[in-house]
Amino acid sequence: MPALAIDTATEVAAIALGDRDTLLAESSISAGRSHLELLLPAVHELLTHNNLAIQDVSAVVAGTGPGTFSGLRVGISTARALAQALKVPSYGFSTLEALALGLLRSKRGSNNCLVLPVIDARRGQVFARLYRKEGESAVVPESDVLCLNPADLLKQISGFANGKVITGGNGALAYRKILKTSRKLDLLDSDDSGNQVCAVWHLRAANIDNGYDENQMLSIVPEYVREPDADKTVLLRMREPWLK
Amino acid sequence: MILGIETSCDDTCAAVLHGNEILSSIISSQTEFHALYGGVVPEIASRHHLELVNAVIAQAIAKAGVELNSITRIAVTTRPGLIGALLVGVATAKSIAYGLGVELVGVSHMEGHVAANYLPPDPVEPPFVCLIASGGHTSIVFVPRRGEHKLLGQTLDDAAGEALDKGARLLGLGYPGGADLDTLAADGAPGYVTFPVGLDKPGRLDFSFSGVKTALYYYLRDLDPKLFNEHRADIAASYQSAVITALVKKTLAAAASERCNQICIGGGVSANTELRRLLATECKRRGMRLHIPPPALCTDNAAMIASAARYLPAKPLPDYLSLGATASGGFAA
Ligand SMILES: [Zn+2]
Repeated sequence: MPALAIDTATEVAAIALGDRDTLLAESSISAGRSHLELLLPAVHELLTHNNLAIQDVSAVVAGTGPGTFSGLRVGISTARALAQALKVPSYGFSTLEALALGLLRSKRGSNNCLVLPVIDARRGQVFARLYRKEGESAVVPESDVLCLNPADLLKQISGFANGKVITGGNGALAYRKILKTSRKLDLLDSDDSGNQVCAVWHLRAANIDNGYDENQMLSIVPEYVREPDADKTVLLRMREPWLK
Repeated sequence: MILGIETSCDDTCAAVLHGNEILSSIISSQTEFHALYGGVVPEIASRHHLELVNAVIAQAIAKAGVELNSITRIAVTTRPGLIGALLVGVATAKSIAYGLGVELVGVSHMEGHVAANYLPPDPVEPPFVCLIASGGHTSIVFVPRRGEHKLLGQTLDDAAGEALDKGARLLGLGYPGGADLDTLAADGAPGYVTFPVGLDKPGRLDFSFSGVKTALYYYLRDLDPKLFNEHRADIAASYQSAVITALVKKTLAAAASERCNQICIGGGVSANTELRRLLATECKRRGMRLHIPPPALCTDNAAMIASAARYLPAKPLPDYLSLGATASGGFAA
């Protein structure tokens, strides 16, 4: 019985089916801002294509970002509710960590090499976190989750590391011109977001045999990083509604 | 057995309906989180819905004394509302329906308010004219039969409840304020000041409340503070009366134009004492029947969404998997 993995942190949503050791199937959807309309049909198609029904799914895992708020909420709501209806275990995973593992899958780095997954945060900023490869299928964080503009990201990176840093993700591609000015960065030039999800099996395989746990399901929430968009002009209009 | 889910604004709601019997109706209000800002902040509402919705559903199921897998149909609000808030409810509803292998009905929040009138303890049947007035909407609709709606009037700017809340704020009351305004107005003379309400013309069934709010602002700005302290209740009563009178006048005019002698109401403003009093008086005078659901069915809830889903056509699997949500849109699908 396979686990279902969903990641909707970016405009390209990723879904995958797999178990402890094997990735059974994966697909990515150019969802834009239409995750709500496109995610479940894609899940259904992937299952059907593999002669499976949703009731065959033994666990649901969801990427918790960071990424676009609405996209994340669609994926996480979907994962939580599927787990609730199917009474199967569910887990959240860091999209940045999964992307780091995905980058390593595409560009084989030596042990202890550094990986920098970068996700577009809009408004001229990116979400990023530096990881170090450990063993064959794990990474450990070397920095906090960062939310900053690409120029500042370069400054942060220059302080780290001898040798190259493998980087990629939709944020790295969006700002490739700026990132390519650094000779330290080894940019993966394709947006292979499907790779985000491949990591899930390694990350969560150990837990998949546990039963349905409501509290565990309820604890899956987006990693927003940014505070709510309480735009100042909106708030002023709320406090002083008579002003036009 | 229908599970209803409603997340269009700042209440996270789930309910279980068995036939026309409400087995449970859970409402988790977020008002306290938004009070700080003096209004509903969409991003904060969306975040809370996501955190609350599954627990609210679990609570509705438990309180109904049933199992989730005895649900045969899911009903969910798909429009109108805060888009980020609706997304959470619709994604959740579709996934639960998919996981259970049951059908799903997407419901308009406005139709839900109408369908609250079909629920016990005192179910009503059409034809009727329904006034839906809350912090988010103000509409008058004629319902010739279940599922058919003729929109006769709606607000062009602020909602009636919003006008009451904002008036309350100008008078130094808290957020949301409508209820406090009601209490304060109880001790005041509604004829103390005349506040004009927009679009007050015969035959015009639309509303405009932004003018009356501005009128109150200028009135208070130019008022001697001593008079303000002495007459705060009178001003509150005058302002509230202006808003409520507009609602009642147009609702009665709508009923007359449709030759309909039954009036129903929905939305949070239906808790307002002045609205209840004035409508009751005017309906009695005209020999009309007035129907007001219990308060918990007037404000946003999921039982009303499930109630609408009793007579609406359901989408089977896998048709509903691509269902979306829209911020706008009223009664029509
Ligand atoms: Zn409402």
